[in-house]
Amino acid sequence: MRVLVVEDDWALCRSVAATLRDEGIAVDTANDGVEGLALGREGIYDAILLDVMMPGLDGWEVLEKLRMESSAPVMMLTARDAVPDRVKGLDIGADDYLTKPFDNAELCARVRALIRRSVGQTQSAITIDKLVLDTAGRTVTYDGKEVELTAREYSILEYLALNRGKVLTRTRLYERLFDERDDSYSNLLDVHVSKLRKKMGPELIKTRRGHGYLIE
Amino acid sequence: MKIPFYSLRWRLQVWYAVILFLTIVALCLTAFQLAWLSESRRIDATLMDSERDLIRAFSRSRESGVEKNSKGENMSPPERFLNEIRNGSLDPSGDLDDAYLSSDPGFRFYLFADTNGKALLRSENAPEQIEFLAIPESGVSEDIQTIGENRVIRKSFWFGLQSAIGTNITTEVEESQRFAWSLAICGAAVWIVGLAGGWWLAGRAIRPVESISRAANEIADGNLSERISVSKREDELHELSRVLNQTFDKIQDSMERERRFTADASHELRTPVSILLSETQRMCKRTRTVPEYAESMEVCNDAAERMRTLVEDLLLLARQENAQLRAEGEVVNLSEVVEGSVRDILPLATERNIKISTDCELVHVRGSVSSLAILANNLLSNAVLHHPGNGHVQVRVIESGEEVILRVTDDGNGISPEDRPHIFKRFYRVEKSRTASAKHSGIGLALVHSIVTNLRGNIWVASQLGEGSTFTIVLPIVRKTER
Repeated sequence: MRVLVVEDDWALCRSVAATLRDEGIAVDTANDGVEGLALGREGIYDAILLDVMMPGLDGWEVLEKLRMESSAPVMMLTARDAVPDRVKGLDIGADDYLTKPFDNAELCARVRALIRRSVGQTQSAITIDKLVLDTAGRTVTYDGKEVELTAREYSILEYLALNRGKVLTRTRLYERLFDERDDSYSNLLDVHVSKLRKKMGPELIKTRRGHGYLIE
Repeated sequence: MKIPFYSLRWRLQVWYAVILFLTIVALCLTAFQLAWLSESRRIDATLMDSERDLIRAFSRSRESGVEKNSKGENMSPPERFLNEIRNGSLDPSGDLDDAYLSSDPGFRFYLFADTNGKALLRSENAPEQIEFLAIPESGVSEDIQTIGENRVIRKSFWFGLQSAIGTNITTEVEESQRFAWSLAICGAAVWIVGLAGGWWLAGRAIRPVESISRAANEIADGNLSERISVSKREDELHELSRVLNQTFDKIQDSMERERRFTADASHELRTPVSILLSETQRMCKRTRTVPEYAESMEVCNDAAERMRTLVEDLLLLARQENAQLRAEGEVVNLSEVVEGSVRDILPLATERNIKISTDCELVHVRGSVSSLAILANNLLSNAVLHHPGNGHVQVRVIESGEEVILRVTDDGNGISPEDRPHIFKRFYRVEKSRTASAKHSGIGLALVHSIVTNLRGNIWVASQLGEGSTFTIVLPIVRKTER
């Protein structure tokens, strides 16, 4: 899962990013609308958190321009809580609206729900054969037994499970699960996948040689 | 207003009805009295004439010789008349008016009696009983009275003759009753027409009041932009509407300011509160390393610091904006205030290697030391803090005619033409990111603008991007003689 946070207040931006990273979500940040739009256009984000009041390009403008080429879920993050503002945001194409100040728990839940909806998953629990993934509690049971996973391992598993049946290339996985802070030239991904196989048996995550990984 | 009889219109109407009624009644009574008075005068005059005629008729043929009475005086005609009655020398069949013989309405009668009240001579139609006047010692006592349906002249002479000559006034009484009725009907008609007119007038007079109260109700319901439509005629209500509208303007203005203040404050406070919440919740979720805690603490501290600056500045601004335009105030030595501000900013300026040169003439303006100090501090700290460093800031206070000019010039970054129209707005920040805005609430120049406006001054800015800006403030001067 990779999320873009566009927020002009540096401290808040940093704090939101840290909160989401704690949840195992890869986070990129942008400190103004122009930068946010440029990053958003790359199309590698599962969700975009967008502040409204920004110098230069404001959140509405960013959203409008972004919607011309991308359908990534967008959550407006703003101090403006008047109903007309919310309506405007949702009409322009925002998927959700969260007013400051917010609770971290709510922020995370909304981001998870946003991503879930965008891949067509309606429930927070994903069940594939013996694998049960509770995206809300971030717990994994395999064959009836609870499996201890690190945040990164969990996010890889979750991403594969959400896109079950699809072969996910290493590049795509890197794009979607690792953010600007990670070194994308390492073999981190392979390390994590092999750890996952060790914990849950080799048959769950399959390798398509030359293509990538998948859960069937 | 819901109970009709408590309404102003009804009360006006009731008072009006009472006063109109009393006036009409008084007028009618007076008219009736006058009419009756003149009628009775006419009757009395006729009656007196007929008395004379009667006596003349009875003693028509006789020569009026000079006789002496018991007192030795010449006999008056009545006395002689009495003698004649006693002597039986009267001619009862004398040339009498027909009226004395009939008993139709308007008949006349006569009755002469002696001291004991015994009738000496009477007409057929005279009433049986007549109360005579007491017989006087000398001369005659007489009156004219309405007795029953008759108007009667009663006379009693000292020598023992008592007379009552009357006329029946049924016709006249009936006539006057008819007159009274017509008066009453006319009066009632006038009263009713008057009432209708009064109702209409009261309605007309009340209408502006109703519209005022409607507007006031609208405003009370929260529609603050509602106003009373002011009539073109410059009457009392026009004045009242105008004054009320002015009051409503002021209320709306101050409510608007209040609303804006609350909105601004809450909006600007949301971000630091979000930071505090987010950071603390994140830190509490699991155990962190000491450097992580330290970093988080610093972030929280910055957020709290920002909130403090913001709250202080917002309060300052609210106070300035709520201060009415008061020209009075103390006379302040502006140069002293500006030099004080320069001294305060000097350490920071030195740190950033900015040279401040001051050129202050001794001038006085009207205002308060504290607000002028805020003004100078803000201009100077803007010049120094937004400066990239290594430069020069010039502060000048000059007297120019009736004005004092305070000019702060820096050779910093300057302000772009797009930003220039907005810099005096609240929370407008020129920096593209608020990263370094912990020390700036975005209110400074709005505050300066408010202060200058309150002091009836002017402020403007000239700036060239990359070359620096000049803020010029013009305030009215106070000369020593005016102090």
